Amino acid sequence: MQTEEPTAVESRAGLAEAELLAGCRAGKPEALNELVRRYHTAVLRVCVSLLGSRDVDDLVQDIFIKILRRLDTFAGRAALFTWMYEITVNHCRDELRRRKRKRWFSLQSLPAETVEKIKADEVLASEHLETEELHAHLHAALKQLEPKYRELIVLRDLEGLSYEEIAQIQKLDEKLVKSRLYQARQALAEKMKKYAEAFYA
Amino acid sequence: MRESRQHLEEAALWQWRDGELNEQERRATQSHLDRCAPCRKRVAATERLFTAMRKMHHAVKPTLAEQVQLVRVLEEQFVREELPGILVDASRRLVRWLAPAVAILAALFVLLRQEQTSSTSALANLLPETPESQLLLADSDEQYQQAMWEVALSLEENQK
Repeated sequence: MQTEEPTAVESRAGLAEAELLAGCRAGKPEALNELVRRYHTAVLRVCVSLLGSRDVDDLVQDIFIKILRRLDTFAGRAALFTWMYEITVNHCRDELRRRKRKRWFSLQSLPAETVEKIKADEVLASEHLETEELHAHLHAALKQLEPKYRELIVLRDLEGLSYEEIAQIQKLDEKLVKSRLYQARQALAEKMKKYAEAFYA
Repeated sequence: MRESRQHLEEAALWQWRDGELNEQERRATQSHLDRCAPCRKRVAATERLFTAMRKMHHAVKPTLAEQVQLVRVLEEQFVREELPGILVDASRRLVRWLAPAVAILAALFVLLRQEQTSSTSALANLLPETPESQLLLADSDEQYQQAMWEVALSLEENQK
């Protein structure tokens, strides 16, 4: 797959992970700065694509805190960036569940017509890229996918991770990752069907 | 058979796109695509879809303010202040000397206590059992007071 955009996978080349880990464990400011410099963007964009919202600053902060608290449990069996993706994806899963529960409870207390309006807005929601209609549709389509499918599209097609790395992150068999990814892409293509003219044009 | 009679199957297109076909399958798919405009169109549409998605995804970047805020929060929680080197060395030297010194002082204290007890008992053996000798052997105020009473009584008896 040809991608013009840099991915976390590309930026891992030449990392002195051991030094970075030792520095973070010792609480050295320059190591913490380096950790943020290297991984902030990847963690942020994965959160935004998985949650379908740009309002993720607190979440990103919690993810970095979790990563630093768990550094002692990081055994180094996987690369640091794979482990960070794993924590990010799991944290986003929990957040989605929490937001779903919160939304359900808040909708119970709203009038029916307001609820309908919120749902209609969400379909075309594009909090981040309102100016580009195509992006808005893609954003909405991605948001409507099941979380397990969305994770696969994000990790494989957008972040450029290998099947092996995704299997490690999701604790799944590689074959299952491949078959699910196919289903995920099909589901996404289905969601985008009504906007297909934009792509065939 | 990955190829249907007329057009490529969806799965085959994904595999071709991901470079997962073997050489023979890849050639067959490529050959079909060279001849089939609708399939080429499907491939192009998929490519446009994913290119747009990647652009959208990678347009998300943290602002400088967000980066600074994140670093600040992490530093507050995880940075541990280090003592200057000279202080660290001094404290190490102190610990190295302090531990044996404390041990020696403790041993001296125990020895002196034992010495004191044994000297008192030796004195008791030497002195005769008189009320006056009890005055010399008294360890506490109470015993001293008691001995004084004994001495006073014995004096009184002697006078009688």
